Amino acid sequence: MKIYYHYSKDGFSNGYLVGNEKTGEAVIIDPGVMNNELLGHIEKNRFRLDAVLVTHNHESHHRGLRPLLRIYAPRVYAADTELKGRKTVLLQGDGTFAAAGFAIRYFAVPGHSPDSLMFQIENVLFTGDALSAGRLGTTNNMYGKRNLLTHLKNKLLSQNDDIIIMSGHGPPSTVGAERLYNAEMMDGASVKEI
Amino acid sequence: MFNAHQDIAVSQLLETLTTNQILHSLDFSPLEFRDLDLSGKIFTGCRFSHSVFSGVKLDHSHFRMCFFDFADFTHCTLIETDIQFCSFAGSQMSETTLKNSDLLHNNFNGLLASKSSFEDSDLYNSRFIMASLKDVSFQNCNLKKTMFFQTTRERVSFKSSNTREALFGKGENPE
Repeated sequence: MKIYYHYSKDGFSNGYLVGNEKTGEAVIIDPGVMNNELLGHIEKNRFRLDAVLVTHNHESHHRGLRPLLRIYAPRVYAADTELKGRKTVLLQGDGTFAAAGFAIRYFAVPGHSPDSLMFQIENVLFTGDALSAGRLGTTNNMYGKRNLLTHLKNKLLSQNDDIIIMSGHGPPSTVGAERLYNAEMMDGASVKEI
Repeated sequence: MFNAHQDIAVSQLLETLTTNQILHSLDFSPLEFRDLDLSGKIFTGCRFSHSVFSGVKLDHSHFRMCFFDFADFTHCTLIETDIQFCSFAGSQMSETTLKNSDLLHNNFNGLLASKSSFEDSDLYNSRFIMASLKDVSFQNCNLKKTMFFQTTRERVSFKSSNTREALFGKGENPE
């Protein structure tokens, strides 16, 4: 598995190209931007783009979908039936599907948005905006926060410490680090910003 | 670029480390590195979790998607390094310098640092949540979008750095 990290200065968001060296296929997670750099990674590796996985329906995480679909014809997986006028493969609840030769696990983690998903490929968990290094995803109210916390405790903290976390914003982390240094997750207390 | 790690014997790992200039997808955790000069090497997708670095020179080195979580750095130099999208969560740094480096999008959450320097470095979009910093210098740094939440600070200098573009927890602003 090869992962290329891609940062969008428009929405300060992270996108990822995950390539399968055995099959020559790839998936993109959260195409916040489609530009020459991302195109270069796909073409240089001669990847066949099999799927696009969208963690949630916020512009900064799929702004690059439309130009991407002009060039390639991947399936689009999301928890919404349609994105950018394109029908998706609808994912609900938790489960597994196959794309690019990977068995991809998905987990519903509503709270930041009702359609939030996490994707897991091998030992890497792509958390979107549900959680980033040391921070819980933003929520609109206490109900949303409690809902998000419950899902993360069951689906993220239940995993091994060495599982790598790659989120929609900010640097990477591990489950072990979040267990110790994510105060919001530990006790549900809010870290107040100025 | 990050690859799934490969299983290689420790002796072969260390030989690869000393002889190769470019290192991909190797798992060095939890090895100990003492008094080594690894300057100028390129590391991508490598793991150094719980590793110990003592007296190691990593100047002008390049790291992408590497994991140093819970590693220990003592008397190390990482001058003019390019470290991006890496994690140092829960690591310890003592008398270690990362001067004049590109340190963008890095996770320093839970870092325990003393007598260490990040002077003249670009820390854009990095995080120091729940870090403990004592006698640490962030002088003349780019701190745009750098997060300092629930950070314990003792004799920490932000002189000539753009702290107004950094994110501090309530009551934690250095100004």
